[in-house]
Amino acid sequence: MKALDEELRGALRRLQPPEGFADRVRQRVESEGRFARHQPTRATGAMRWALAATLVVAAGGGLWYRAEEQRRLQGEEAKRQVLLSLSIAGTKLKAIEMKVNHGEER
Amino acid sequence: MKMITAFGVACILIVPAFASAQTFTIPERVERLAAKARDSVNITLDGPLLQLAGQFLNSGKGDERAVKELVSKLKGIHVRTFEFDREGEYSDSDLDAIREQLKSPAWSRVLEARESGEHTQIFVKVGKSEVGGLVMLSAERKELSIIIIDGAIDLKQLSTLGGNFGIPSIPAASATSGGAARVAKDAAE
Repeated sequence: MKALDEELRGALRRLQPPEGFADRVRQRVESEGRFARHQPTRATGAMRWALAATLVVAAGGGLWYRAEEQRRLQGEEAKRQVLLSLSIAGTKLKAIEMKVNHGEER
Repeated sequence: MKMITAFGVACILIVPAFASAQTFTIPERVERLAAKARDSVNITLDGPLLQLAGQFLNSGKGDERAVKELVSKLKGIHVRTFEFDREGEYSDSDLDAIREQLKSPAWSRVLEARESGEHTQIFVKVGKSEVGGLVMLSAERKELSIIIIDGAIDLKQLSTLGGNFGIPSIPAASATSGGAARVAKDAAE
């Protein structure tokens, strides 16, 4: 039992790392990280710009279409109201005209 | 000193512009009649809306071309019509606030007809060479119509538009029934 204790104590004893160990680990992590990251090439950069431009154009087009559609609906409604109001006005004017003429005849 | 002069010039330029650009106010009392009415029409079209409507009127179609031409000279249209189930739902004095806005010298009453409880008035805005605006107030027993057209308008052309565009014409018989109309073709009130 004592021998086992001694063996365990020996195996688990605190050891100081060799000189420069921490620096080597740091350098290794940095170098591997650099390789792991994707290096943008000229082609991928252009693709990103193209994608961004497409998105901007699509968003702009969508907004324009929506505004245009809203304007069209407003215009159609305004036209309907103009026709209705002028028709009412014309009808009323005609009716008054007839009323007056009728009165003058009698 | 320069500031005062600039302010004076601005006032001289701005005040007549506001004075000529009259905007009609439909009294709240009249607007509330819609709640009592069986049927009502409420249309208010200002300058920008009229311009927009003009863009959607087809110059190729005969009727619409005439309307487009007519609308291009207008500054505003207000139409309120109310049809009631019973008589006495409104009083002629409800229109007084509108009549107040139609004072001479800008406006002239060209027609006034009263017969058996009905009261019809037509006012025109006196322009340089043409009618600069038209207001029709028609108070019948169960029907009230207020039509305000601000801007240069050809009355003959307007009269031809009645009953067009799929909108049924008001039966003339209802307008001409009753006794003789007293017509007052005077200038201003």
